[in-house]
Amino acid sequence: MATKTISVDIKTVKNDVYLVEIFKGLLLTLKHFLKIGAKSAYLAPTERRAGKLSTNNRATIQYPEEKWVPYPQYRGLHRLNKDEQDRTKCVACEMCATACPADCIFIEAERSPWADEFPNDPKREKHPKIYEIDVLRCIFCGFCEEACPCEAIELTEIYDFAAYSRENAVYDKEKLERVYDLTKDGKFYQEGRKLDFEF
Amino acid sequence: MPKIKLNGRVLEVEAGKTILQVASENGIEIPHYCYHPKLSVAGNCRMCLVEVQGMPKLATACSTPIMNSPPARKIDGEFDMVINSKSEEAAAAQKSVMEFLLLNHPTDCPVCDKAGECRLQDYSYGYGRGYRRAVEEKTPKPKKDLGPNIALYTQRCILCSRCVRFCDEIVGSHELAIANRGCHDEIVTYPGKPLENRLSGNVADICPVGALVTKDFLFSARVWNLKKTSSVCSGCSAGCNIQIETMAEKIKRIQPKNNENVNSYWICDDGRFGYNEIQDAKRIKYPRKKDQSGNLSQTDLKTAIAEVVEKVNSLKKIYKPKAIGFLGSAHASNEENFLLNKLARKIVGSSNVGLRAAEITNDEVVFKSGFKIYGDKTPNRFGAKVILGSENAQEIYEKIKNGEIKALFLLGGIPETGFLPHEEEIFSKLELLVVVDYLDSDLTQSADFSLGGKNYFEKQGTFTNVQERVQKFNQAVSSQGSFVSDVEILQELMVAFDKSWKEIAVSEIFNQLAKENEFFRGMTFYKLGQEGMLKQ
Repeated sequence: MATKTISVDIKTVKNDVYLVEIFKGLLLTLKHFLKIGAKSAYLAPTERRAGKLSTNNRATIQYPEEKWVPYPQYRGLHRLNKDEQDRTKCVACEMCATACPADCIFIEAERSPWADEFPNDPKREKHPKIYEIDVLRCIFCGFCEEACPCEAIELTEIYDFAAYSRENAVYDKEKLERVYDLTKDGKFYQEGRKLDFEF
Repeated sequence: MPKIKLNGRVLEVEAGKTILQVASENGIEIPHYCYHPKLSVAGNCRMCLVEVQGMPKLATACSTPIMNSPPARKIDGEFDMVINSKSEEAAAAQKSVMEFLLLNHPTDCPVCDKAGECRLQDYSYGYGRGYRRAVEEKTPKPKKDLGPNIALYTQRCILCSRCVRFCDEIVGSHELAIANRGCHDEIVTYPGKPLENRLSGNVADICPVGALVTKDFLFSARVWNLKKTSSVCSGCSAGCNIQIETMAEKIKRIQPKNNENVNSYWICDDGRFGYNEIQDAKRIKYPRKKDQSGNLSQTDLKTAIAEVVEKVNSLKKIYKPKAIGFLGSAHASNEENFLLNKLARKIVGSSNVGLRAAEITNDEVVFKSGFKIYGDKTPNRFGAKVILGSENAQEIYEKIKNGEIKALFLLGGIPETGFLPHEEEIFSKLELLVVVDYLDSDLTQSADFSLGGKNYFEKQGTFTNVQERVQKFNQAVSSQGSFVSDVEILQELMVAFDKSWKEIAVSEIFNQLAKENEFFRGMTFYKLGQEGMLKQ
């Protein structure tokens, strides 16, 4: 009977069992558990934008008591911008509704109440009688914002606008203009504001 | 015939035709603003400049006729003319004309109602520069009111003078003119003479840019959202071809559709703006029944028809089938009148069939170009006359007064009115009045049974106009009132009387009518096509 010699490489065993890696991982967990080490890279910008330091360095936040502040490019709930005299900037051209891939914007135009103030500017002669966005249908692509020729529609940082009914998820002109009032300074979450209309 | 070369294509065309006409006939696009096939040639927009070999300068395609040239001067030994609208020189001219026209144009496309069907937009993409070189500020020119139906955005105007020529040549009312000189040019009306002729809506159609707009359509929709249905106007007996443009089941505007046999490119303002009244009229949603004490109650079609049949059969037993009268309508389609006639003569067996139509009280209006607004405000008087074999309702009225007719079936469809004069008194003598009409009027309220129906925007059928041309009208919107159309109601009635009748579609009803009626012989619903048919 021929004998077979098996040579065991100690390095291979070490790699196969992952012993070192397991201990490395456990050590990391332990480090976080004991709150040792630098602040999480993920957490830092949030805290910076919130304007205050979190009570701890945990990667989780205590939602909804504590609100995450999104990045500036975040595409959340829409708003309808107004000019200095609180008149809607929208001229009801329906570019947003035409560009919308989800077909969630409905506009009906009419002659604006301030048309006579701009005899030489036909753009201000028209404004939306009805401006509705069905946020349940919206896919938040931001095409409406891009298509708008007069910077009237914009997406804000607001992300918590779940509604109790489908009707309330259709945002009309009044609601969208109210969103503008709440977000025009860009500090919706920093100031701890809330949407103050019916859901 | 001259042999020409147009953009590389060899064509043999009639001498005397203009280059632009030849190009459009052969599917070659030459951009133009001021030229309109039905108006005189003005040649002032300069957009149609083309290169003609041998001519010292570029020529306007709209005003340069195709000519024979003497054999010795033929180009390449065979061509009378060699024209190129895409040469470098022509393209440069088109580009600079575009730039010139857009110098003071407000480019307010987002709010302009013409956007989407605007020549300036299209040609700017096709032939323009794509950006503005001028840094000077634009001169504002205010919006003006030209008349009860038309407004003018002065700054958008490119002064093609189509509207001026339309008022001069088609209407003959000479209301518009171009005043001032040079860059101060603008379209004006004469003092104290607003644009209020009865074809004024057409100036908004022929305006190649968004300068002239109808106040009715202003701000109401963006044109690319509109669904277009070709149809026939029911406003008078002319039967003008129209395009009904709708959005979300609402009519937004009505535009003329070219049919050289009927209305050319025009319609009158009555037809253009008349849809509002029909659309907003009070409607019957469900069949209604009046009990003995005069109270109206809602019912469903099956029950109503069963009760009607029962009553008619009992009346038939007491009197004779002759005691049942039938009145068709000059506002109802050929198919509806045909079904009523069949119900009367074949199924009930009564020859008391009449044609109910308002008397002609208006005068015919003829415009300079020969366009007519007829005094007869019914769309289908001729067709109904041919089908029902009766000229009017006088005979039926007399028989009701004498007591010979005890029950009456009546097709309505006259917009805005219920009873015609004296009818209320005459109909009060009837024992049974069954009305098929979409309006909630005094007539349908006094009827024993009013079965509902659809207005003509909501159904399909054919009208025969005053020139005896049979034309199709199509459904543009879904019904705001009754769910069943007049044709379906009539067929339900026929089935209830006679089980052997099979319900068929409007097109098949017309085909059957064509088989049975001498006037319609040889026609089929399909053959009517877009232009309609005359008696074969």
